[in-house]
Amino acid sequence: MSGPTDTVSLHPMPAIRLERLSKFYGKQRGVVEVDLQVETGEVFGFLGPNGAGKTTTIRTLLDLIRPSSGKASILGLDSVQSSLEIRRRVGYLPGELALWDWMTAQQVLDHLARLRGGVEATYRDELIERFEVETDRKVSDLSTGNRQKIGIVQAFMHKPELLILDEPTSGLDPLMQQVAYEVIDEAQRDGRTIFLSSHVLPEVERIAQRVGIIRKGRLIEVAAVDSLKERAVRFVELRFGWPAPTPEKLSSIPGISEATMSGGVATVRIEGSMDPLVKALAEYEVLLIRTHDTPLEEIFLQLYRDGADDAD
Amino acid sequence: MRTEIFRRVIAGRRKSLIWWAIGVFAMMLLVLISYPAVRDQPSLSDLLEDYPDFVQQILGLAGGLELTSPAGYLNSQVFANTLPIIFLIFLIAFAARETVGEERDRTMDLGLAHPIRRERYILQKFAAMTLTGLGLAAVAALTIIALGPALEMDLPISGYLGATLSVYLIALVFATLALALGAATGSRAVTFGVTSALAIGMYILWGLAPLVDALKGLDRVNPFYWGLAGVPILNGLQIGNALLLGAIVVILAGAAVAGFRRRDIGV
Repeated sequence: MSGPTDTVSLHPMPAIRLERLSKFYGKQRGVVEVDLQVETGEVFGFLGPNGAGKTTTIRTLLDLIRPSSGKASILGLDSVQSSLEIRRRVGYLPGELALWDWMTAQQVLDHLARLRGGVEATYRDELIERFEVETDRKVSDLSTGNRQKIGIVQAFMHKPELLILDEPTSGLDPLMQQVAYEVIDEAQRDGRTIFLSSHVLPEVERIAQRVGIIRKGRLIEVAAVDSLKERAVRFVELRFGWPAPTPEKLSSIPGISEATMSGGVATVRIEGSMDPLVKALAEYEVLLIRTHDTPLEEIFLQLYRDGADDAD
Repeated sequence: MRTEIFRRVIAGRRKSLIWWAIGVFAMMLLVLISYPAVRDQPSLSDLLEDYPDFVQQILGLAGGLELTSPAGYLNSQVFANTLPIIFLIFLIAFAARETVGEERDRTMDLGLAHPIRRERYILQKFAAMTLTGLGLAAVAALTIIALGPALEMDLPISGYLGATLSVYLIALVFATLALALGAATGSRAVTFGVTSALAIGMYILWGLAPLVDALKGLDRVNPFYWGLAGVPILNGLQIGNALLLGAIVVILAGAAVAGFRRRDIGV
């Protein structure tokens, strides 16, 4: 077994490394043999519908639950053996954030800062200001979104090396989502690693470099967002002058797997390059081309449809 | 900070603690000011002598204590029933709230995601429970000490203190059991079910054991026996008995730590 000195420098240590990590609750499946490596400095998006195993994985990283088999290393440390040290260096936003109802926002942040120790007031106050946290209001009087803002501030306030964020923007209004994206961006620029789960695809597409997709407890895909997009299936809407091509004609163009026509507007489903379509359209009068921007969503659904069947 | 959880637990209960203290004070006051009326009714004692031994025992009047004497009156009205029940309710609810309660509220996730060992987390809660309970016991004892003399209660202060502390220790045993069950299982049903069944069972056993041959000796496993034996109201705190109860509390607190350390939280 290699000592800690071996892992310094040459190959930067991964921020998170899961090796055949499984978690069962009795017979119920949590996650099954997940292998995953999150590199230091990246923003990694962990995608999947509710119940797929995202939160189970995340809670294992913080030693709130223990693996049934396999192991998790965080910042090069074993998730069970070195949990205290890991928790010192990680910021965590729980998926179903619960705060002490009777405290004010300020009291929550003060309490957690003292529990942690060594929190710089300047950055914390900056976050409070940017997220417009109403510090003197009681948690019980705050909306879900306003509570979530407190959760984000506490996760970031000590400038941790690794941020583990379970559905960070849930409940936030678009303006605050934007602030959250900015704060995540800044953290990355500072060299921090961000591991975030989401079921909101455009969000992950926007802020993450790589994504892992989890389905029924199994990791079914890990890929760079860009490469996923290249494989994207797009829907393109075309408005033709006269004469318009028939749907059959459109379907015969390479890359197009589906075409429908209604009232002079054709909708085609296209995989890969647009080039064959554009070339083929040259012989028609094209009034309008509109592409629909839901690429990851579509890949995602496709992965879910095609995903290996696993008997539960 | 090393006492952060302790401080949070206390701070979260400040209002409720004040009300409990007022309640205990009011209850003691009511019992105390009723004493002269009972004292002047010797026939009450005669009446009770005709009652079954079980009733006398459960009223804390075993061993020839007279209802009309200060010791008999306080034992039968306070130390053998009302006060242990108050302490039991307060402390068991406290223990359950701070284990299964916080786990169900999900605030435990956030706390335990911070750099604090689970041992410390649960022990600080134990300390908060122990000290706030002691605070309530102090209110009870001080009320008697302050008002007793005016009502011709001529018992030594060591009797009031010893009896209150003993009764508090009885309740603390059950409360620490609740803490251990809550910490180890996360189940509200198990925590409340097992603890209250044991508390009620032990209380009845304490009343019956001296009277039923088949149960003789069984009361040696009973916290109520150890807390009330030697009649602390007359003789002050029975050090050996108190240490025994204290040792059980320590063992149960250790069980709480052990059970909490290796468990999945919030599943």
